[in-house]
Amino acid sequence: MNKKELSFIIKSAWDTYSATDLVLNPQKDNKDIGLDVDYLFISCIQPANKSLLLGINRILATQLAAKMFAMSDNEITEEHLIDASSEILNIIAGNTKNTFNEQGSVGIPLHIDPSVFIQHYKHLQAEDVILASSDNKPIYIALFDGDLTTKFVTH
Amino acid sequence: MRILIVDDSKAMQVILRRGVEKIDCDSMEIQVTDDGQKALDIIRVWRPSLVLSDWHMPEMTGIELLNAINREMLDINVGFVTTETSSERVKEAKNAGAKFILNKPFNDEALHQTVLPYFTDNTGRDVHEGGLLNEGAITLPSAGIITKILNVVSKSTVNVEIASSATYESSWSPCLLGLFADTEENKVRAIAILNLPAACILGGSIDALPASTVQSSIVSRTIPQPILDNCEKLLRVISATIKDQSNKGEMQLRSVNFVPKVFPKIESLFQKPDSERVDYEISIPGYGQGSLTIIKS
Repeated sequence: MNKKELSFIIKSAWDTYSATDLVLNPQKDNKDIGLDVDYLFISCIQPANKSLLLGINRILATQLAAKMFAMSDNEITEEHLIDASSEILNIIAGNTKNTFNEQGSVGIPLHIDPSVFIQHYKHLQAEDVILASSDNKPIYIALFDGDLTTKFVTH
Repeated sequence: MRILIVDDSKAMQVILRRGVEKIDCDSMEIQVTDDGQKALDIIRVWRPSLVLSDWHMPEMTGIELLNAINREMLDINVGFVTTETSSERVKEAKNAGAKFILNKPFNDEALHQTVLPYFTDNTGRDVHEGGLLNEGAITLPSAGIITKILNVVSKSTVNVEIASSATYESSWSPCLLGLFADTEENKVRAIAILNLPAACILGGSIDALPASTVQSSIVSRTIPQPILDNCEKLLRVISATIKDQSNKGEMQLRSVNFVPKVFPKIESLFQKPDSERVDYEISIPGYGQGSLTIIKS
């Protein structure tokens, strides 16, 4: 899996379903999840034994859900927001899986508390990190070795 | 026309529903559910004519749902909307009778191109059925399905009428030739011929090109690449509406050729009887009119 492929998959999924296009920011070298990430989802890809993480802030997740559900921002509930973000990660993970192993599968995305991830797993070294933004708000996508979903209590 | 959408994501349910509702179809009814088992319960009672299903779902997956439909011998068109692209799973789906696999992410255009051939009329009959067009192994699309396709793909209102059998003469030159082959033997089974005005007005209307641009293409007797690309897209959709009853696989567009001069082979095709062909007269207000003929090979 190269970073270019992963970037293409992410951009393709995002631009299809979001109101604002994704801008990749390859020049940034800060691979830490910032404080502006309000929602974090992890999906496991097997048998490649990889985990794909999506970090997104509330405003952007709301905009995404509003576009996907064809609703206004103020109609979007927490349930809408989690469903839309999970589906975007599911699509990204499914297409990423196709590049690893044809016979693989993708786990249902887990909604993780970002503070728990940052506190306990900040030391984890991601294989690839894609820093991007949409409507000037950051999106964080990282590919990790191993199944991180087993390490977290789901919401 | 009853359509059942099966996906465990509520967002995807809404996206699919919204996309399908954009297709102009009388008496369309849509139900959604989030799991294969629930879908099967609905199917048994409601009998949809088309099921759009995700692959990976809790309780019962999409392929398990299709296998259950087959076991119960329910005559329902099922297609998958999924990120699955593995050759093994695509083969498994096709062997089980899946009509199509639409990969996520997709836009409305891709959705329409994929599902339109499986739309039925109010009575639940396949719109391809109609008597005169389905003799032999190949069934050609009716004016109804061609109208539906053109009006979804085009940004203008397209009128389609069945015309009397055209004869091939110099006015058909230049023309655009689309060859449709079966996927099993890659043998050409049908041919579409668009005369120059039809190719230009249809290809131009897909991108809402100015009428003057379309007219200048017709006058200069050339087809610019963007219009040609749109015609190819259109013929690809039409390919899915040509049904092969002899189980030689799906029909697919093998090639699109610009034919600049009168060509004897085409002349002989035009001599085929009415039972082997359909002639459509196509008109788009503001653009003009043209002719499309589809002939069994």
